[in-house]
Amino acid sequence: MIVPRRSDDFEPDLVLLLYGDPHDAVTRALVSGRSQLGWPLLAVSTQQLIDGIELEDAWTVAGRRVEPQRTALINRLPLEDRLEPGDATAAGTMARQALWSRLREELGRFRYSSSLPTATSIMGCYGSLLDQWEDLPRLVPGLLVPDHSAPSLPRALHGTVFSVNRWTPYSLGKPLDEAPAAALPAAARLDYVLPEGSLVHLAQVGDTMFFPNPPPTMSASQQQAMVNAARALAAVSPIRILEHAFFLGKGAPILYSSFPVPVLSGAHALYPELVKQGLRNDIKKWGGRRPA
Amino acid sequence: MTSRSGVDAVLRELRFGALPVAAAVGAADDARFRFVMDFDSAERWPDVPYDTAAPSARHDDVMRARIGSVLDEAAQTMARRAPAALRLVNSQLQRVLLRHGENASGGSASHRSHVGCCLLTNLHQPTESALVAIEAVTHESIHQLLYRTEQAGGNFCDLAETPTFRSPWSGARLPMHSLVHACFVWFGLLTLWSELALEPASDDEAAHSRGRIAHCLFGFAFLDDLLDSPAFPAARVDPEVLEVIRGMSVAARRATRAAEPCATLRQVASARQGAGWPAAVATGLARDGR
Repeated sequence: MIVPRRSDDFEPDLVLLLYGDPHDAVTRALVSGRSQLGWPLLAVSTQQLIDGIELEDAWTVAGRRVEPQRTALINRLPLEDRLEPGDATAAGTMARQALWSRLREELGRFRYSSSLPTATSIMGCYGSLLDQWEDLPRLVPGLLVPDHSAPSLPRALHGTVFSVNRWTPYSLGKPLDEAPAAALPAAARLDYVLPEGSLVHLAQVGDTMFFPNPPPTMSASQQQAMVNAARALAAVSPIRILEHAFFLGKGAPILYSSFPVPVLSGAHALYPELVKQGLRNDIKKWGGRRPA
Repeated sequence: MTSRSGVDAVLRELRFGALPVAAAVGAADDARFRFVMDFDSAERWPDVPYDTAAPSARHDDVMRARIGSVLDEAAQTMARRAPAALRLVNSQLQRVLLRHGENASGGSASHRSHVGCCLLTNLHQPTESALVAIEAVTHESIHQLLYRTEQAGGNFCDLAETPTFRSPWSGARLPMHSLVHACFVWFGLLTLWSELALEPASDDEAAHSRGRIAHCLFGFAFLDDLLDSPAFPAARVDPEVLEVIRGMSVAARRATRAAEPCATLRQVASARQGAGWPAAVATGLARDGR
């Protein structure tokens, strides 16, 4: 259990960036603005990570000793390759399972890690839309998510029902009458009641956040509700870099998805500043928290 | 409240490699399953997507003979190489429904209301039928052991169907009681495959066994994150049971690390193809159980 305690801010000796995609907005922001972070930055690609790092009590990176307890780690490893049955060979799957397991253990030793690998993502995420809609309201009491139904969790739905592949958090899917049940395998299919309104995004790094596309109709109370939800998540979640999508109508916002890649906000002019300010603050504060 | 001794007894049963083969062979005796093969009863199994009582769910004579052979081969393999697991099957499973589901995927099922009994669907389909049968009957026997332990000493956790949690092994959303059972089941399967992988009968079997060990270990690598999450209501699990689950998780991760003492991730990625990897995992698990 991670709990806050009074402690000195964490001042790392080094920020270690592990990246898969050099075009990832977080990676770009860090690499281009390293002097503004305030700590030395060492960027390591996936390939360098696999071949060039010795994983002892301290890591050895290009001859440099990296002490996990004195280092802040930014995990931008590839997100896209879920460990699901697919085209991979048995040996290939086993290799990836071994890597993910070891990385979870290794990254967990760092005083600060922006996220840890999970069973569904090496970058770390909240899983499918179904996983998010089931789990996140328990992390953030009061958080609203769409009414939903899946073959494994059947429920009666009323209203405008859409059907979506649960692994596509940036797709709303299609109206149920346009997407016959047979179009999606049961393991992927998720039906939900489309909330009123349109999508509003919120980019977040720790407690720092901004709205890249605030609609003029967004009220102060709606804005505050989304900020409160993101802050509540930041208080308990090991995933520090997120982009949320909320349905915003006339009432309370309804979370559609949370994703560790800033697909929409990453191109916004403010995003590099969010990364710098957000990470600087989060490393100091979150890295200062110790396991109870 | 579940007794610690009861949960510890379950764990001892699941450490299939802990008992020397010679000691376990006596109990496995005649290298066969003792459960009744039920091809015809009108039993309607709950929570499966087809009617097990329907005539269309019955295997024809050819398939019955084939399934009988598959189960014979499975029992003989277990008697030779995993006798403690065979002993568990023979002590826990009294009847196995064998059915054909036209649009159902192959698989196995147990239910709290049918202790001593399980359902195997489409056992005739898999390429590695005997290996699939070994895992299926062991998996379901562990459920029977857990049901009986709960009947004797109290439920391991809240039996509510909601909320659900993502299983780090199957990816399915499970209610808490199923997730708690899954932790024991996957630990038992880990020790089972670690035993079977020591002397594989073929390259295909060796590859199959390694894949199953890796799958079991993968879930344990992420189990603590689920248990530690504020979203997981740990207070609804018996504390003794939770402690044992955490112990299994630690044992699996220690065995992984002991079997993969690699300095680079490239070496980690290839370690599981090494000749000694299954034995190293088995040794790690056995060491932790002493």
